[in-house]
This record gives sequence, structure tokens and C-alpha cells, in this order.
Amino acid sequence: MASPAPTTADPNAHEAHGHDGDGHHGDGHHGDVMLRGHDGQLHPANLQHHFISAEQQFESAKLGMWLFLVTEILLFGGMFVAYAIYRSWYPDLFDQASLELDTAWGAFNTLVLLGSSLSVAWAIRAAQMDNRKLLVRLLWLTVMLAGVFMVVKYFEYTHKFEKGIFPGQYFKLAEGTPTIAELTAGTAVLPGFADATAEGAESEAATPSLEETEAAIAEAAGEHGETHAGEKGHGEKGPIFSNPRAGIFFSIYYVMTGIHGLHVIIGIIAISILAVKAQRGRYSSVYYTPVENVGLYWHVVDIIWIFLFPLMYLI
Amino acid sequence: MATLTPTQPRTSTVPRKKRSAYPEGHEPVHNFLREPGPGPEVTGFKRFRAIAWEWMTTVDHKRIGLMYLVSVSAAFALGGILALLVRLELMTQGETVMGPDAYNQVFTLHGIVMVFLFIVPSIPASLGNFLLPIMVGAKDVAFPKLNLASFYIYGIGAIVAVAGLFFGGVDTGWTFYTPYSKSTVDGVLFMGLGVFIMGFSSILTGLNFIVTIHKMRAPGMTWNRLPLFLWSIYATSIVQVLATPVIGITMLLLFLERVLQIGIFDPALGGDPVLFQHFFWFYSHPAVYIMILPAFGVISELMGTFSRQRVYGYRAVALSSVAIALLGFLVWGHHMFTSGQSPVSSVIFSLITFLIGIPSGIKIFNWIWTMYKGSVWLQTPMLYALTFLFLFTIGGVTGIMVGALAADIHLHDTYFVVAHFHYVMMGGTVMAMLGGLHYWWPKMTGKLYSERWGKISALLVFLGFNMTFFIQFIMGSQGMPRRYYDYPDMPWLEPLHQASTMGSWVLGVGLMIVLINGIHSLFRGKPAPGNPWGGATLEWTATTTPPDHHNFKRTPLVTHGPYDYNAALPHLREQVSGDGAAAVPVPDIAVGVPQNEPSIEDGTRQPDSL
Amino acid sequence: MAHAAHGHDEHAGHGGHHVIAKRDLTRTISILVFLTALTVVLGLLERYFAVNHEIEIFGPFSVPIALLIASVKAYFVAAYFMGLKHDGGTNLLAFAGSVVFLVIFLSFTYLDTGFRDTFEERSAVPVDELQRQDLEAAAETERLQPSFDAVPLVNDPDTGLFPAASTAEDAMDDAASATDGQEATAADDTPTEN
Repeated sequence: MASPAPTTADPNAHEAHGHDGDGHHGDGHHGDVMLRGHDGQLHPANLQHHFISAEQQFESAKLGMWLFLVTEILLFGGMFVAYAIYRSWYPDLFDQASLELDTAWGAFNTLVLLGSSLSVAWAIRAAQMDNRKLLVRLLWLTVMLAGVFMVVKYFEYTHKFEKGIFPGQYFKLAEGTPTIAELTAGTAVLPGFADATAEGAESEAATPSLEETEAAIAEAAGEHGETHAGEKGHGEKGPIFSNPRAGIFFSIYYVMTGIHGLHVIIGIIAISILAVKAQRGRYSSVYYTPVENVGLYWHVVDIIWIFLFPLMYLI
Repeated sequence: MATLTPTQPRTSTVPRKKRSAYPEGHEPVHNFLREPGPGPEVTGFKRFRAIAWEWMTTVDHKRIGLMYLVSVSAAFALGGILALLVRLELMTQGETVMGPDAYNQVFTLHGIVMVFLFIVPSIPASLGNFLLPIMVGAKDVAFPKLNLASFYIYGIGAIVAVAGLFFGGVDTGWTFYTPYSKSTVDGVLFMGLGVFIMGFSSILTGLNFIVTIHKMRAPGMTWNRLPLFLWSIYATSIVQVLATPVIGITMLLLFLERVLQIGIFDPALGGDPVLFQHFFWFYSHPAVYIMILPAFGVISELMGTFSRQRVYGYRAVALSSVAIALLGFLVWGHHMFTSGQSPVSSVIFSLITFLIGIPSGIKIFNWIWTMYKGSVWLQTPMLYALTFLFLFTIGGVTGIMVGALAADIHLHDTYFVVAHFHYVMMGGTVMAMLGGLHYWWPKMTGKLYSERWGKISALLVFLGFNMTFFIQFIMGSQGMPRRYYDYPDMPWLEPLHQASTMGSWVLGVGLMIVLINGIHSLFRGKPAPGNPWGGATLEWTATTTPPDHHNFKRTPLVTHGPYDYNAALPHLREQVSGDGAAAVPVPDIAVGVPQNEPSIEDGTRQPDSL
Repeated sequence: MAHAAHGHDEHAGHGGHHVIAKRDLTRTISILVFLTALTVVLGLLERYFAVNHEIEIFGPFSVPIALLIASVKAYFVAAYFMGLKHDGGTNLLAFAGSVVFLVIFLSFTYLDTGFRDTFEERSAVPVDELQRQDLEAAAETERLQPSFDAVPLVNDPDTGLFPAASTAEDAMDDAASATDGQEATAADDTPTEN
């Protein structure tokens, strides 16, 4: 076509332009409704103006969601890297610390999340089969299971707080155990090791290195732990409480489970919105993209917990 | 100016209205700058308010691109002023204009503003947003609302970051290294949070671009017909999506480190500060490629159009972008040679760093070969492209130098490194952005800028840049450390510092001319023809200037490659026939090339996607 | 086999989307529950033997075993619940890419954190010694055969460029006057060497 600029525009075109931001495609009620687009052709109500077909729109939304999930995986990946590095440095610390986490509750929560994953996957199936009643029920079931997860998490957290298990510097070590901050600053007073340190100071004319002090503490902690190993009951302090670096494990624990919990809360909100919209009949086999995408998000939250559970609670 | 081809006389005899000085056949019918716009009955302040609101709530990628352009330009201006202050302070020994604490804050802010507010979003978010959907033949990006959200998230992040100034400022340098960043002023909290927030903006932009390129290409727009600019934007987006979450978690951990004393990075609490550097550079080294890859794309476009020749080695250039993006994830440790990381990793990182030179070299080679036997047309954009070629090669080669483990032990954190990354970032990205901006300015605004002043500014920028930064290679090799307020032990460096400072003034004047030239053209510039440079990509051949609100009247049908000037502009070819020249002749920019608009009905075919 | 199993229940939705079969859903959840039970039992067993009998039944393999079970679970969630098995293409590439880059992140960081002390003991003293020898040798060379290479690249107060060069030249002159004969022979030797 030699003449470059079209001079005769469709008079309807301009009117259609005006509301394309929030207009005909927004949250159409049912997938079957057709609206006239700016090009004068009929489109499904849920088809946004810049897509050619509903299929293209669905595929795009799904790929976009997958790319978002990639960022989620790498976000948690950073924390898994921190976990792996510190575990490789202090394997004993991680062994001792995982004893403080309640495996039964952890396993229960794992099953709860797996169940919610199932229910959301089934919800997508229900949407595809145009079974609105089932879709709504399954979405609410998912919300409920996620709520159970958070309640259990709440009790786990409060139980730990009662025992003085806080992240980092605020971790309450057993009486007399020097904190890591004191050790690195070289101001630790070591009851029971006073002789040893004094000897060390005399012989080497210098305070013992951090590693030496820690080795001595670990030795004593091992004895301490062994004496109490048999009679481990409620309120009994495990060996972790005499490990000066205990705070590191619980920092990682709280950060990872905390951010995971945040994702669960976001999921609860998103799925609740979906459920309400599904009740109003917004989703059908023609248009269920939000259900599909939130479902994908929820499965990733599940997958992350699948890795968190054994790494934190079991080993 | 070479005018080989005017069939139409330059001053058309066709009578026309006073305001419309467009060449025949180039009168814009639609214009996204004004469409849809309030009706003529709305006047006065109400009209202004309606237009402002329309812009603020727009989901049109072109308008969002322009809003980004204004924002990043403002950030560049702010960062530039800070840079001038830093240079001014170093002009004499001792205190010149500010004290040591102020100096620390100024260079830190310069780094943060330039990296996170300017360079990372610069080309992708402004030129990329504007051009990407047009170049693939789509009406918009895949998620227009997300695109607007990304712009506002960027704005919020920028405000939060700069708000740190009122809470003590930041004096850590843009790298936020622990443990110092843990113990210093509270501004770090805000800056970290700002970087975290802007990361989301970057992720959303990248995600949007990847989906658009994958799913929304017009019929006939195969991967092998994708303009090289899009290939590089694609590679950039991959890096954005993969790397940015890690800076997010890094900043979050730093935040928690300060607030909750979690002790993951703080050695006093048993943490490892070098681990912070790993986290930081896992993002920030790939981020270097977020900054430079779009520049490669712009240069590929400029080289093709202004050599009037197919870009040599299209596939090699396209795939080398992706190769750089992926290899870029394997080299972050070369920032940490002196950090105390294990020698094992230093050696491996150094080795892989050299590998990055291969795809970069492929690109340089292909660009030079594109010019060979072409009709090189020295318009302003091409001047910037050549500047890029020259400066980036210097930056790249010195990068290989500091990538060598032994040399880096000596050069680490000296002005040599400062000069190196300014040659890459400013000499590379900024030059490409200026070139791209000049190239697409007529498309974006519908106005022609003054070529003469464009060329003058290009010359001044080139001279000023080299004056400022080449000297820093010398200073660095003599031991001038980076980020130092003073150099009392090295008085002989004073003249060099002075020369560098004067260079920064020349550079500043050059950039000011660019700005004035642009603004002047908006009000007084001649109307631009549809295709002033004779480009062959869709934004030149298949849409009006400035583009229609919906980009295309009809979905374009792509039948040839992006640099197939013969096929795209047959009119141009007919006008000079039989001279046997390999290259396609250059058009007259005031008249342009009539556009060729192959198109099909909407909805009849879908783009084939991978 | 998996495909053959869910014959009639599986069909394409309106948009040609894959609809997961009921049987796939139930089978997947059964596998997931079983694997969860397995990993918990193994974990408790290990802990029981470690505390009561001081036997490490898995030893260094406890982490890999736990990760392996978790990965299998993640595979089933991704493949069936998330539909990757039928999606394939770009979505799979994105997901796989994120895992690959996570592994890169971890392994390259571990190259540092796992090998921090590798060369410390061997390098500490000898390098100092070597450096001292090198410095002595350099000083000796400079004394005997002053050359342009030996001049430090520093500035000249007179010309504004390379000041220390003058002092170095003085030093050269001194050296020359001190060891006149040697320098002459050195100067004679240089061209023939090249």
C-alpha cells in the first residue's frame, strides 16, 4: 500500500478508544457475553482489546504467572542458599536446633497444605467442567485449610516465644552461656572455663581464638546435653540453648517460615476473592484464568513448604 | 546532508494548513499524544485536568514509555548534578566544596540514583516500552495495567529511596556492604527498602516484555525476523526476572539484620559479611547486563539503518545477547577478589569472566562488519553509535584487564575500576540511549530536532567523556583509591583530577545541549515525516508518526526481515537503480520514505509462538 | 502408562485446555501423602537411633535423602497439580530455568564458602619469603642495571607529570657513577640481547 497513513477512520473507532482502560473487558460476567470492539467486530466479554483471541490471552496470562513464580522461587532460593551455607558450616547446630521444632505439627501442616493444593487443583477442574457449586466449595475449603495452617503456625510460634526462642541476638541462651556477640568481641566471661582461658592467656599471651572458645563450649554443651538426653520433657532446655550460635538457625527459621507464612496469607486473600467472584458466577469453562493463576501460585507456596518441612523439622 | 532520493520536491506545492508542515503522504491521522483526549467542549483548567488524569491513568505503552523517559531523565539529571559535585570536590586537595561526610553521602547517592533510578530502567522501560509492542506488531504489551503499576511502583520506590536523605542519608556506597551498612545511619533502611520496591517494578517490566515477545508477535514475525533491539530486550528481561528477586531478598535480610539483629550477615553476631556480597552481586552483576544489553540492541538498530545495510551476522548478534545474559550469572565473584573469598572460587570466576568477552567481541565484530561497504550516514544517532563502539570497546577491554585475578588485586577499588565501569555504563549505555533517543525522537514526538546541534552535542559529549574518564585510568593505575575524599599522599594527582573535573564540565554542557535541543524541537521543531531515516522495522514501515493510539490500523503482516531495506522500502530502491552499490541509499530526513504497510484483517490469524 | 490409565475421564476443555482427570488428582495426592509419611518416619527413625543408640543410620546422606524425597513430591505437584506435564513449552522452560539458576547460585556461592581455608596454610609464610627475595632481587637488579622499567610511574613537580622520575633519574645517575663500568657493559649487552 503506497499511501502511508489511512485517512478514513472508522467513526466508531474513537468512541471505542475512550474506555478501553476499564471498559468492556474488565470483569465481564460470563464468558459467553459478546461485545463490540473498536474494530467493529464482536469479541468475548473477557477478551481484552489488545489480544487477538481468548486463547492468546489465556496463554499470555499463564506464562506471565509462571514468570512471576520464577521470581518467587528465586526469592526463596536466596534464603535456601543462606540455609545451605550455614548448615554446611554448622551441621551440629542445625541438628540440635531441629530438635526444638515439633515434627508432629510440622507433618500435620504439610498434610494440610497438600490437601489445600489438591482442593485448588480440583477447583480448576470444577471450573473447567462448569461446575460452579463445586468450584465455590473447593475454593472455600482451600481457604479453610490455609487458615488451619496459619493457626498451627501461630501456636508453634507462640510456643517458641515462651521458651525464649527468638531470632538472632534475641535468642535466650541458657544461663552462663556467652552470646556470640560477646565471643566475637572477646568480652565473654566463661564460668567454668576461667582456668582454661587464664592458662591459655598465660601460655600464648593472647586470648583464645573464637574457634577454640567455641570448641570448649561445645564440649561442655555436649556433656550437658547428654545428661539430660534421657529425661527430655516439657520445659526442658535442649542442647541448643548452650550453643552460642543458636540464633543463626532460628533467624533463618523465622525468616523463611515467616515469609512463607506471608505468602500463605496473601494466598488466603486471593483465594477468598476468587471464591466470592466464583459465587457471583464470574468463572466458567470459557474464562477461568484467575482461578488457574492463583492455583499455580498456591502450588508454589505448597512446593516451598515441601522443602522447608524436612530441612527445618526433620534433619 | 546527502539527499540522494527526493522524488517529491522538498517544499511541496500542495496547499495546506498553516500548522501542518508535514511532507505529502506523511500527515498524521492518529496521534497517541492527543488521543483519545477530552472533547473540544472541555476547556481551560478542566481540560488540563482531564488530560493530566488521562495520562496518569493511561495503559497505553507509548505514554507509559514517555512517562518513564521523563522520569529516568530527571533521575539522570539528579545523578549528573551529584557527579559534578563529586568531581568538583576532588578538584583540589582538602576541602573544596563539602566536608568528608557530605562527600560520602553525595557519591553514594550518585551511585544509587544512577544505578537503580536511571540505568536499570533507562532503555528498557522508556524506549523498550514505547517500541516493543510496535516492533512485534501488537496493540500493546501483554499486561497493560501491570505496566502502569510498574511505573508507579518505580515512582514509589524512588521516593522512598530519596526519602532516606531525610533520615541521615546513606554513606555506604551503592553496594550497601555489611557490616558497615548495619551500623551506619538509618537512611540505609529507606534506601534498601526503595531498592526492594524498585525491584518489583523491574520484575514486572521484564515479565511483561517476555510474555509480549513470546505470545503477541504479529503474523509473520518469526523469531528470526525479530529486530535485534527486541532480542536484547528479551535477554535483558530474562536477567531481570531471574536476578531481581535476589536483590529483593538481600535487601529484606539487610533490613531484618538492622531491625531484628538476625545476624546472618553481621560478623559480630556470627554471620558472614562476604555472604552478603555474594547475595548482592548475584543480582548486581547480572544487573550490569540489564544495563548494557538494551544498549547493544539499540546499536544494532542504528548500525543497520545508518549503514543502509543488513546487520551482519543477525543470528550471531541475537544469540550472543542471550549468551551474555546467561553467562552473566556465572561471574559475579569477580567483584569479590579482594573480599576474602576462597581462592578456588576466585580462579573459577576469573576464568568465566574471560568467556564473557567472546559474545561481546562477536557483537563488536558484526557491527563493524555491518558498516563495511555500507553507505554510512553520519547523522546524530550514528555519531552516538560510533561513540558507543569506541568507548564500549575501551570499557570492555579494561574489563578483561580487571577480570584477571592478579591484576585486579592491584586495581581493585581504584579509579581504574571507576573509569572502567563508567566507560561501559556511561560510554556504553548512555551513549546508546542518546543515540536511540535521537533515532526514535521523530517517531515518539513527531518532531525533527536540529541536526547541527545534535552533532555538536555528540562531539562535546564524546570529548568531555574521554577527558573526564580516560584520565581516571591513569590515576587508578597510580593508586588513586575509589570513594576517597582526599589524596594527601599523592599530590601529583591534583592536575589530573583537575583535568578530569574540567572534562566533566564539557560533558555536562554537551548533555545540556541535548536537553535543550530536544525541548526546542518539541515546540519549534519541523514536523517529522513518517520514516525519516528509512528504517525497515515495523515502527517505521507500518504505523504513522507519531503512532496511532492503537499502534496499527490493522495487524501488520510481516513478510521480510527487520533489516531487509530493499523489501521494506522498494520506493527508495527504485529511485537509484543501476549504480550497483551494495547498500541501500540514504533518504532525505526532511522528506523521509513513504511507508509500506502490508496488513491483514484483525483476528484472522494468530502469531506463531514458540 | 500414565496416559493410558486415565482414558475416558480426560478430555479437552472448551478452550482446548487440558482438564486433569479425577484419577490423576487422587493418585497424586496419595503419592504425596505417602512420601510425607515416609520422610517423617525416616526422620524420626534417624533421630531415635541417634539419641538412644548413638547410631547414625544415614550419616552424611540424611540431607540428600530428605531433599530427594522433597524433590519427588515437588515433581508430582508441578507435573500434575500445576499441569506442567501437559503444558510443556515455555512454562516448563521458565520453571526449569529458575531451578537451574538456583543451583548455580548455591553451587557458586559454595565454591567460596566451602573452600575458604583451602590455601591458607601453604601460602602464608612462603609468599612473604618469596616476596622478600623478589624485592631483594629487584633492588639488586635496579642497582646493577637501571632501566626504564625500574622507574616508578609517578609525577614530576617541574613538568607536572611524572615527578618521581627525576628522583629516579638521580638515583640512576648515582648508580651509574657508583658502578660505572658495570652499567657500560650492561648498556652494551642490551641490544645484542634483543
